[in-house]
Amino acid sequence: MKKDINSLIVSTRVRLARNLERVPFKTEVVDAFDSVATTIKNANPHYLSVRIDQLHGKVANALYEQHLISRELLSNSKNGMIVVKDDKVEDVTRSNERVCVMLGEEDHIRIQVIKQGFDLQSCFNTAKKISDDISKEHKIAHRNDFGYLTTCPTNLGTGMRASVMMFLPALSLTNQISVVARQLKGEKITIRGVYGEGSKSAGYMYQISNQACLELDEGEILEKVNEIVRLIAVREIDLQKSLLDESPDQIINQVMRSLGILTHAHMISSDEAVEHLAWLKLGDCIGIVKFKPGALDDLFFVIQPATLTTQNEKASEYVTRDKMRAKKISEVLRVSRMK
Amino acid sequence: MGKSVPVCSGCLGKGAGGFNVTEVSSGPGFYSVKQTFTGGPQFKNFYDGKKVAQSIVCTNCGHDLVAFESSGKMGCSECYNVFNEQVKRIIRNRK
Repeated sequence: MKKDINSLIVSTRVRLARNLERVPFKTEVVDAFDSVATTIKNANPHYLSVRIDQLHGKVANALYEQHLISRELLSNSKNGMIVVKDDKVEDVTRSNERVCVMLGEEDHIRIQVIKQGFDLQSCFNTAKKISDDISKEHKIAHRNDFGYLTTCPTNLGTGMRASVMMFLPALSLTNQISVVARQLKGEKITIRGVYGEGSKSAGYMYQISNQACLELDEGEILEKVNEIVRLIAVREIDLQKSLLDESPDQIINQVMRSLGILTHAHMISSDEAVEHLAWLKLGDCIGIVKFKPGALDDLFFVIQPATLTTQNEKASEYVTRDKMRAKKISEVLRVSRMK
Repeated sequence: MGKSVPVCSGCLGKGAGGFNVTEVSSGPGFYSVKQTFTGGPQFKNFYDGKKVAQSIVCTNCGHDLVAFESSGKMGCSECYNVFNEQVKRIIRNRK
């Protein structure tokens, strides 16, 4: 069962929001966060910092594409910065554990750790260490009754957002995502599509996250998200088995057609690629095809437009990019296919 | 809800400058004053919610209650001490 659950979980993210005491949240002081960046780098080898106004456009787009930086931070050319765990900023999009600290976003400090697979505790440990490193040298705004003080009072509490990206094709195809969303509301957990709006998400990718609350501490929140993710995963697995029992030929046909297109296309757009990769991933989950663990999940990210462009300048033109994408996908599928 | 502050109609008629707005609006009594005096047309000229609200200002960053209520955001960590009651209301509504 553990193996089945893990096949549905693409990545895990923990974000911690912190603010410096007494410093205005929208401070315009140019070097407001320089010392925080220095503190993080001194305490953690192989971390580097970059100011937003010095970030190359294509790298910025790739980081935005992978949800490592936000539009709000990108618009802060006065004192916005990022601190990343890597020797080059563009490499962070390819790491297994991606660490990106945003300085000068809605909150002064937003520590983000993303790992492939299902590992909330490890993400939290890395993020907490960075938070503790900062706290040793800077006064962080906190009150016993309100927890960590944030720009928005609705985010008060632990300042933590724990999220898991899940692959939920059966729940999506049977229109049950909105039912799940309603049930989760009482638990202060949200579910939303990663690609696209509303209850259907391209690629059937959904993010399950906690909402801010004062009643639970970090450990309790992680435990609750863990439990909810497992419950959703069990429901999804049961539904996938039902779908296969009811319409085996249709499912197998769709999976194999997608495999054919992805292994033979000369050009393919990111939207079409995501749609077919989702079918392939469903086929992998239910045993119609088999790929090395993580190979398909990786592809969802590396084929995105800006991410492709950081790896090859020529991909800035869409025809070239669509050809590169098709070639990349067919190469990866050839190498990673096991059945 | 806090206690209402008795103000004579002569002072009310003078407008916001008729008495010390800060004394009326400070502490938990602020919202009770609003509820006591708004609604009747004879008090509208005097009680301008915006003028009273602007008197509550964070001395650290300059954020005032109107700015907080329109944006839903604080100006700095000190604002949580200044707008303590408003934040507690938000937390109660969140539960």
